[in-house]
Amino acid sequence: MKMRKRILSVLLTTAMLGTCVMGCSSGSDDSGEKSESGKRFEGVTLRFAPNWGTDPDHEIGRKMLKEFCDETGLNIELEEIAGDEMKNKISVDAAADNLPDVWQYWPGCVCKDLADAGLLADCSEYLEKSEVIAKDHFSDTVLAPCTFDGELLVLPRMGASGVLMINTEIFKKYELEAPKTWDDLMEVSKVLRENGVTPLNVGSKLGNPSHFFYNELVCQFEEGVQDVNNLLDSSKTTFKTDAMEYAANKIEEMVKAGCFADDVLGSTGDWAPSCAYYDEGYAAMCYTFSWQFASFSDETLEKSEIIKIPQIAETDRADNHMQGTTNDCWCISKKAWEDTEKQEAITALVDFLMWDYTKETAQGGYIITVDSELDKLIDYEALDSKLMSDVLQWRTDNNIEADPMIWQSLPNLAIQTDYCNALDELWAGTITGAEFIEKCETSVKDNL
Amino acid sequence: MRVAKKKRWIPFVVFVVPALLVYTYFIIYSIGNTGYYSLTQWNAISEPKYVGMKYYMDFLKDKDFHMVLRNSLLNVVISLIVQVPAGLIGGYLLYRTRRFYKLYRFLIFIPVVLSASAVALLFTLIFHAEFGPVNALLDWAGLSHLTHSWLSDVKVVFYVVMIPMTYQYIGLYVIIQLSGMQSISEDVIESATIDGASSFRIFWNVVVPMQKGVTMMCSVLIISGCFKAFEHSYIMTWGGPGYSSSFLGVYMYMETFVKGNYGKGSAIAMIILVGTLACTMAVQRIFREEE
Repeated sequence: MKMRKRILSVLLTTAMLGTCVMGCSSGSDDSGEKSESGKRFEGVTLRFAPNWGTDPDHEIGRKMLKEFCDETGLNIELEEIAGDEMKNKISVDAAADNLPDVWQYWPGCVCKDLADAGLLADCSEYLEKSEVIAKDHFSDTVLAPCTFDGELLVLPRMGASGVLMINTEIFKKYELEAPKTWDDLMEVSKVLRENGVTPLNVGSKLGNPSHFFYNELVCQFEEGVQDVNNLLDSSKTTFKTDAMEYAANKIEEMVKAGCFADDVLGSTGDWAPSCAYYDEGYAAMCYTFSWQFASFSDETLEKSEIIKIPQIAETDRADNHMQGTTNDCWCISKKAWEDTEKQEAITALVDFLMWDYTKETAQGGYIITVDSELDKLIDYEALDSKLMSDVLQWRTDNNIEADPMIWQSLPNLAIQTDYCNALDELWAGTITGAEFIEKCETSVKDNL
Repeated sequence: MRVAKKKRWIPFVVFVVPALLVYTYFIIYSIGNTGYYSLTQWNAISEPKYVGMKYYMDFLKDKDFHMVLRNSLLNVVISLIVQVPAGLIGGYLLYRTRRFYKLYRFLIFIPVVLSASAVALLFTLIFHAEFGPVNALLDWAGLSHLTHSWLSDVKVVFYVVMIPMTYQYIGLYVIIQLSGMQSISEDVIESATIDGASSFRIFWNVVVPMQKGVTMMCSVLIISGCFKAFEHSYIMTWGGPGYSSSFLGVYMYMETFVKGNYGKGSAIAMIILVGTLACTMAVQRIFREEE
């Protein structure tokens, strides 16, 4: 009996250890030999974290990525994260020394800590190896937020364009003209407000989409553009400038005049709610960005007209500028890049992302490519998204230049978050323009 | 003799030590580590830099922190005032109910098992200023002057965020109290009834004193829940506008994961821990003194 028990325990222990060893070993074939199928990356596994949610272009991404993997034999461990939560994921992964091999992120200050800690691969090395992407595909402006201390550490993924639209039906109903100046905007808002219509759909939930709108006002001055560019240099970072203060006071004035929804956080805070608000006819004007274009109904778009940002009286710039810049980027982990077994596969994956996937989504009208070579291949008259087509055409017709972005140019995440929180308060009317500037300036002092 | 003594140690080693190791690593070591990080400036990527009590001293003059702490303490007080009596009364009503008892119990408990995110989203829509039923109802009742931008108005947003929290957790305390009441001997209730005590008298003079232990446990659960409250505030308002509807849990999350300030986040975590312990001990003391 005892003997049996011993044999049984030895067998069970062996089985358990065997299972552990099998469980701990990697599922990939590390022999380095090509499999019988002869696929290029058979047995190679990469961790890839895109910022994907439920948008149609993300669905295209999933489908194309599967086809790419089937074709190359590459095994992708997909770690999808939607929206700003990506920042949390990457920060936790970096702390645990467990960064994905390739991920989608935001350039500028969001990447700065990673760049400072040497966790990002030098993308010039990727560009040297790439078969389809080269540095001269991108303008200096596009590469600026991707460059840290002179090194290109992330790759620009897409551009973005702001747009201001009016609901012509509502304007016609109240016999209003599209506003050309800020004074017009305030007049129009007054009439709309009196008739129970919210003038503008811009709300604020952790600075979305308000930070872009505030930025539009700051950049109505040449000095304002310089102020935003100065933010990149931490020795010059300040909110105490004439343009910043002017813009903050103007927003305070707009809040008091009822230019925004009453419930700026609940009704129009964040991208999707603010667009839905306009789409449902609650607001007469809509300010949004290109990643939201697919969310509008055809019915709404038919009665919408694109207009320029109304000019403030004191402006010293022409009216051909608007927010639009390198919005997000692809990052490659330095650790993964230095792994020679992975380097080829990473190059192929990034090539696929930056060429094939970008081309497909740009042609679909979901994104704006910042790759000048790819841009030549896009048939802008045949985009799937009519609004994207119209906006791009409008930008070309009006020779619209892209303004720099405060959010992206701030030196670190702490200041960026405080800036966004202060915008929420400014929009909610709980602080004045002067207090907004003071809050942001305090954050700069505390976090630099 | 020695062999027998050794054998007595074997079950201890086999059963207690693994659990003790897991507990030590995940609880004791983690708390110690958090305490250490709270004394450093750390972004989770580069090496931590020792800054001593800087964050704790900064909290003394940090207006945002004061607002968040006030919110958390107010949340504790209001929750204790509302949820403890509601749990007792709800539990007693269920205890005395004979018809549809199971249905009522199910209905009261159902919000507890719902996801906090779903409840928070539901209440975001309920309090939507434009098409939410709350403002519509007020308009319909001719009380338009009471309509609000519930989620943007800093004067009310904190209380609005508290509503789904209360709605979701009250059922838990009702069921805990009910379980406690069910362990009261039926003879006690019967004797009180025979002595002519009314239902209210039985509740006040028999049930409430006998439920003291359970009530204390509910209070401890409420305190710890309030200090680490996160989901409803984060989903409904992201703790905003500013930090007006944030609790310490949200503030910690924003500092740690959104701003990447792990040192300050750890300091807030330590304050949550100390605050919860202090309040719990105070509640225990109050209950003991009453005994």
